[in-house]
Amino acid sequence: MTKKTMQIEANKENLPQVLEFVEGCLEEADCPMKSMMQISIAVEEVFVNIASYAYSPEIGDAVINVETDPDSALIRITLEDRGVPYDPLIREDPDVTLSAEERQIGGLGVYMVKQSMDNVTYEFKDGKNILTLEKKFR
Amino acid sequence: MRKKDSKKKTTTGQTKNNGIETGPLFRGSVWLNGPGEDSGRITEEDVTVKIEKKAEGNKLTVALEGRLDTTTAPELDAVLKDSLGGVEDLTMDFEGLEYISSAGLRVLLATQKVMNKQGKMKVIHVNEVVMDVFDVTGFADILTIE
Repeated sequence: MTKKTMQIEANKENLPQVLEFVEGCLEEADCPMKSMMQISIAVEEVFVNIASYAYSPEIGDAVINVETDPDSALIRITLEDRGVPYDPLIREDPDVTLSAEERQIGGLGVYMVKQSMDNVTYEFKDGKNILTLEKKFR
Repeated sequence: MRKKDSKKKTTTGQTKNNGIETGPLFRGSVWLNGPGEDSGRITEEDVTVKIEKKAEGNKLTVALEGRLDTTTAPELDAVLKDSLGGVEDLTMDFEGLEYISSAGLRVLLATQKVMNKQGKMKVIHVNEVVMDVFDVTGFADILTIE
């Protein structure tokens, strides 16, 4: 298992750097492109949520840990913040069968995270929101 | 009347940071041992989306290249808001689109709602990753995908 960590201000403008970091780790683990894109989408949704809500209106950092194991093809990513305690997983899934006119876009991001990863868990520990995303890419 | 073939290339204000960390802590620096040409993973060029418009009478084709994410979706939103007047037949060409997040879906939904009122819209050349997103979010039923 290889673990890399990035600490960065939770700010939407830092999203490209976050994705670059995560995708660099995934590439080293020989993660195929399709899984890489799905994982990136999930990381984007979580990071943008932290950037938008965790510290608002203050600013603060997010810590992103990427653990990869090429042998078992397991990717585990945790995103941490020290903002307001919030479990994004308790939100009800959106109704994805509604028509365009009836659609609410809210909640779709978290739903996409749950759909694109194998396992998503939340915990609040030591003053930190910790969201753990896991996926096997084989 | 909108000009034909007007192109728009957008850039974001990303700053380069040359201090590379060699240890496991990667703090906002550019990943230098980057990928070769074939890799689709993010590079500095990918932080932009390239938006190309082609108008013909009341038909408009918008071709996207790159990623439609939180950083780039507002660019597409602005271009479309500016371009949809009088358009009855909109085609979104996603051949060069690698990735879409909920921020991109938000723009597509808003655009679909506008086009429901004034004409029709279709999305063409959708890749597998983007199609998966459309499938799990139900957008495959909202959009006309060819």
